[in-house]
Order: sequence, then structure tokens, then C-alpha cells
Amino acid sequence: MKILIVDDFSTMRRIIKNLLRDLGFTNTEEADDGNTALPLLQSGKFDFLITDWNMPGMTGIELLKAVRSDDKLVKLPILMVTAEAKRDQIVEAAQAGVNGYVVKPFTAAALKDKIEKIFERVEA
Amino acid sequence: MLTDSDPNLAECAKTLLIKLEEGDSMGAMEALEAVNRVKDKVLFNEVGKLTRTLHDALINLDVDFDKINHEKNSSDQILRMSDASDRLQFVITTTEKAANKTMDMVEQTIPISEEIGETAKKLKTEWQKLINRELSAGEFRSLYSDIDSFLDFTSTKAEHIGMNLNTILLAQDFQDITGQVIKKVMTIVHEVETSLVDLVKMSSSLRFFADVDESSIGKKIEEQADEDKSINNELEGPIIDKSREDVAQNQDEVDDLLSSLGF
Repeated sequence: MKILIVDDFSTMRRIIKNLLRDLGFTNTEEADDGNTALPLLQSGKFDFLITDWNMPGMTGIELLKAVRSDDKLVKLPILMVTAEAKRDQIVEAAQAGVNGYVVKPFTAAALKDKIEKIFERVEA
Repeated sequence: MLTDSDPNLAECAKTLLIKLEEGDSMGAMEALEAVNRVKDKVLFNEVGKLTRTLHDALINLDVDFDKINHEKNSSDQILRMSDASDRLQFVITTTEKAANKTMDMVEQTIPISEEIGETAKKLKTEWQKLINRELSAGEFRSLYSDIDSFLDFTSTKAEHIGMNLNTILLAQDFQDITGQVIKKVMTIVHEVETSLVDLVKMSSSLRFFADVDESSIGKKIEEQADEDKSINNELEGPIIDKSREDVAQNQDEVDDLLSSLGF
């Protein structure tokens, strides 16, 4: 299981990385916005994408749309972890094809729960 | 603020009347110009006062240096700061440093606790054999020395964990210093807001001099703000206002919304 973590704040990437390691996911890579994430995704054989929304350069929602319009990546499970909590935005992300949505600040349990649910659905 | 008793203004008005009565249109125009100059001067004075207030606020934005005793160079850093944005940048770097320090310690401590746990589990298996009287003399001797070294190992590691926890504790001191900086910046923002509101009020009280009706300036600003709100679909980041209905307040509300969409 190879996971890409995309967030412009290095401390947030580190927190997510540590929580993932705690859940048994040790194979992670990091990117600081959509522009750096997309080429990694296209070449890196990732199984899962965790992305923030608000980032300079290419935002998370743009990355989400780019991934969904890429034939090779169209089925990549995506979890959005963001402070953006407006209902309109959550709906927009859902319509763009996000698999899960976690609002910051979040707990380790919430992250674990959402990741497990996504895998259950993907495997089903 | 402009007052009716402004001597210059009264003087100008008298001159204007006299010139008009005399039929001296050139003179009347000049007098009118003078009235305008008075108006401009009042505006300029207010802008000047506002600038001075802002400037003073930025200069006086000092942090209580005595409270920072953990790192010498950080106080040097603060002394070099000259404006609010530098100070906010300081908040970012300080909190980032604290977060990284904390995570360093956590990353260092997790393997230690894992190691203690695993060693204890192995010993427990051997110990259970001893209880069940299934241990050979050779195995007993090795268990005997394993327990001895485990006790040493645990006490050394416990000390190490304690030190790491203490470092985490001390890393939280950013709250004090960044809190001070943010409070000062909030004061500045408030002062600027008050001064700007005064300026708007003053310029609308000058409306009887202007050829455009400025009485609606305040109203226009409010309307503009409403308009901004309605068309604003930009990213807002963390939302503090708990009363807003267009925002999901917690993960449960997010989940409810998503499940209503068929997730």
C-alpha cells in the first residue's frame, strides 16, 4: 500500500504520516501541492491519495478533478483532509469524486475510520 | 473633525458672499476654491493623523522580552522585527518549530516504548514456562540474566522517555510568546479599523462641500460588504464562527451531509 500525502504545511504532512504509520501504513510519500503531486501520482503507482484543499499553486479540489479526468488514475481512492468546512465545498468535493472527507482539526480515530471505510468500499 | 466654527471656513464664506453680491464672479470662484482648500486640508489632516497612529502602533509593537528566556537568539530575532507581518511570520516559524520538536520527540519515543513492550512480551512467555514448571535449568539461567538486563534496560529507557516528555512539555512555551504577538497585532488591526471608520464618517460630513453626494459612503461600504459575502466562494480556511449555518461544525455534520448525498 503506497500512499501520497499532499499538504502545504510540512507539520501537517508529518502528523498524517505518523498517524498512518501507527495504522500500519509505512510506505508514504509527500508533496506540497497539486502541481508537485500530479506528476508523482502519474509515475509513482500510488494506491491512495490524501490531500489538503487550500494550497498555493494547484489546490486539492483541482488535483481531485485532474486525477478523476486521468484515465490511469480515475479509480484512485482519495481522502480529503482539510479545514474547509462549508457545506457547498463538501458537496463540490463529493461531486468531483472524493471518497472521503475529514475536517481539521481531526482525531486519529476519525482518520482511521475514514481510511478503513474507503478500503471496505473499494474492495467491495 | 470639521466644525462650523472653523474660522478659515467662516472667513471664506463671508468673502464668497461679498464677492457674489459685488458681482465679481472671478473673485467668487477664488473664494469657492478657498472653501475647497479648507475641506482638503481637513481631509489631509485626518489622513495624516491616521498614518501617524498606524506608524506609532507599529513602532510600539514590542513583545515582553523578559518572558522569553529559553532561547537567547529568539529575542535578538524579535528586536530585528519592524512590522506586524514580520511578527506574524515569527508566529508561524515559532509554532512550526514547536510542532517539529514535539514530533521529533514522539518519533524518538515510540520505538522505545515498542521495544519495551516487545521485550516484556518475550520475557512473559519464558516466565509463564517457569510458572508452569516447564523450564529447563539452562533456560532458567538465561531467563535469570534476561530479566536482569531487562530491568536495567527499562530503567534507562524510562529515564529517556521522561526526558523526551519533558522536552515536549517545554516545547509548548510558544503559546505564551505567540499569544502576545497576536494580541498586539489584533490591537493594531482594531486601531486601523477605528481610524478608517472615523475617516469615512468625516468625509461624509464634508458632503455639503462636494459636488457628489457622499452621504451614502458608509451605506455603500456596507452594501459592498454584503455583496462580497454573497459572491464570496473563496477558500476561508478554519471557520471560528460557530453560528454559521453554511458550515459543517464537526466531522459528524460532514458525515451526515455526505451520507445524504449517497456516500
